[in-house]
Amino acid sequence: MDISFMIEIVPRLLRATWVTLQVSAISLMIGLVFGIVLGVLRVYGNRFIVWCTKGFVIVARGTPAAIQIYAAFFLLPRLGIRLPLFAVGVVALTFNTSGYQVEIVRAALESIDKGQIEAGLAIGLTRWKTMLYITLPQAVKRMMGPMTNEFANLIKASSALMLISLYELTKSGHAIIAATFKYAEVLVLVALFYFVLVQSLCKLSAYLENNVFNFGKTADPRNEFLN
Amino acid sequence: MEKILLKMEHIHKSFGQAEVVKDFNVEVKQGEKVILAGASGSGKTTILRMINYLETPTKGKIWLDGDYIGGHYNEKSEWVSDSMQDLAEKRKQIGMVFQSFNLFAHLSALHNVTLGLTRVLKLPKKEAIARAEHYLNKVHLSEHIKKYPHQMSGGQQQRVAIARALAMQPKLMLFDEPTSALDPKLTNEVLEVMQELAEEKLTMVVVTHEMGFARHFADRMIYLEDGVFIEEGPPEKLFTHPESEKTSHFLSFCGYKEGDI
Amino acid sequence: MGLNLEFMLSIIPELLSAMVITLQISILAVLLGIMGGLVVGSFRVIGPKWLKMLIQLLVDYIRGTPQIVHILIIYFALPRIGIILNAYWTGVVALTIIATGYEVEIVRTAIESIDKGQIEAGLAIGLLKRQILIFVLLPQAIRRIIPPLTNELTNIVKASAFLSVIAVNELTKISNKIIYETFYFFEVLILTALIYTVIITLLGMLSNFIEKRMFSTNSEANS
Repeated sequence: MDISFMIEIVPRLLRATWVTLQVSAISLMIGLVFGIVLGVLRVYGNRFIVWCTKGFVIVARGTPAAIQIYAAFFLLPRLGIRLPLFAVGVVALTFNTSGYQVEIVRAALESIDKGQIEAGLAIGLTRWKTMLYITLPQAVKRMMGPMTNEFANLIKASSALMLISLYELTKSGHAIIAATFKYAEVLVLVALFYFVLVQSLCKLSAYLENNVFNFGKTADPRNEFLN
Repeated sequence: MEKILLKMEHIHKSFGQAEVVKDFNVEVKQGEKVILAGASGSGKTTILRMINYLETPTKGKIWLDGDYIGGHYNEKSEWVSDSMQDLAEKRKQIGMVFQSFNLFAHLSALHNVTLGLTRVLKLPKKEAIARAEHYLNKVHLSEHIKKYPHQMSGGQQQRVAIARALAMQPKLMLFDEPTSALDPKLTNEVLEVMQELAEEKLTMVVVTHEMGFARHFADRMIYLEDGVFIEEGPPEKLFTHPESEKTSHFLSFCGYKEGDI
Repeated sequence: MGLNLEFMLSIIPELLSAMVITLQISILAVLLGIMGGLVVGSFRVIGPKWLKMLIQLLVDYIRGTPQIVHILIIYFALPRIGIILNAYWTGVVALTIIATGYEVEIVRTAIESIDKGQIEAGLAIGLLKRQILIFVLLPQAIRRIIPPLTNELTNIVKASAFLSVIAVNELTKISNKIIYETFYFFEVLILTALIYTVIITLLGMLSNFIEKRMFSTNSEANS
């Protein structure tokens, strides 16, 4: 192992890690909007809307991230939308994460005791207002743990953006390998960076679930064996 | 004078801050039937579980028929803790029946009994099956030996569990509230089997709330409260002339409600 | 922008044979992974403390690092330690390691979900820890392992798409190749996405089906 080489490339990999974090965080946030809207529709919508959201979830969760990324890369220009690579990455990851977030929101909403809804209706709130003022605020707390987990998943998924040459952590590592052939040094660092990021998020997620919002569990729809 | 089979000396047990058993002592003679009585939380189940080291005593020694359980003294009189192997060797001399039966869920009644015979006692398969059938017959289950635990009633399951323990031909049988998960009819099935065993001179230590049963089953009854020994004696004496106010209070509270069998 | 249906029909055989490669590699990896998962998962439950911690660290590492990174590491590391494999088998090795990481957790969860009373009953008749694992816990754990294992297969099918990076001729790689040859990317991507969605949805349904069958009837196990 060439330690001095490893130290030399750390700043470059750190900059790439920043790209990884940005692309994942932005996708997570935009995905959250889709997740909540579609999740609410998935639970409260009419049959047609429920059917549509279900279809979306099946496609978003049923295709590999690699295919979603290629699709964004090739199809957006075809539709006349020319975006910088970073934004293409955000679009692909947002599509990916929205599918999972819909299920997180749905599970959280459905975990709220039916009595809460009945109590809301009983004091004369409409169905939508009950959802907005009673169910959703309670569900949001239960979503915090799974959402943190989802952030960790997105960071892992973002590595697939190397397929379209977005210089996030994996692609940067790959490029350094291609130039120097010092793959052991590079891959150890890349793996370490991801490991630290993901582990901290997982610990945070477990902490949020066990300590901060500890009033009833929400099942993580992706079950505990996260991808 | 009958020989002493089990001794518990100055036993203490703490879970974290809570001391659930305080300086408990007992000697059980061969063939004796002893009931541990007391309200829930009095430490009686913990005491029973310490006898075969499912719980490790915080302090104190347990001795069974010539050997300490959980360790031994070496030549220099230092205490050496038992390995898993040593402990398994000693546990096979003690049969245990659990409150929740704990039958192996993936095995038939017959194979619940044969598992220990073939894997611990290393009996040949044929002999193990013959012995298992003998003991299942003894608990009146010969027609049900092929059934799986979920196909049997609680009373049947508990009797399989008794057969499983008996088949190991232990020196001592422990019963941890064997009927408290059962309704009255099934309870009687199990108590009858225990009564039959009592007539065979088997040494038994029993934790139970069935005071009516305890009264004519046991040679001796020990009453505990909050992990502390209160008094002991023949059940008849504890029921009619208890020395302690606490005993009389407890027995008048539960003993006569359940009625005699 | 109408679709070229004739073209779509013409590439279906090629995509389907690539799909077979995807499924082959994934199933192989999950099956090899379950052997590793059973052994390592057992040690994770009954091993000495240092071994438990080491296994947990490895599992956290495998689950906490992107699959592409594992694939790259295997791709570069295998030749370095003298193991020369073709792309297909390199892919199998990489996915097996990924699958094992997840399956250790599946096995551990299954074993730990078994009632403590089963262990106590085993101890009480004098069985050793190792015997309790083999004769009492694992036979009961197997049933709880199968539904999440099917689910794990869907994860591995999705992960196998990353093998395109090391030039394994699986579905994603072949679909990419057709795109670069023909530039009919819309047609190719639709078909590819469709194939993946169908596989993964079917596996998901299978997993649900198995779970319902196994847990609702509390089924009759054979000893």
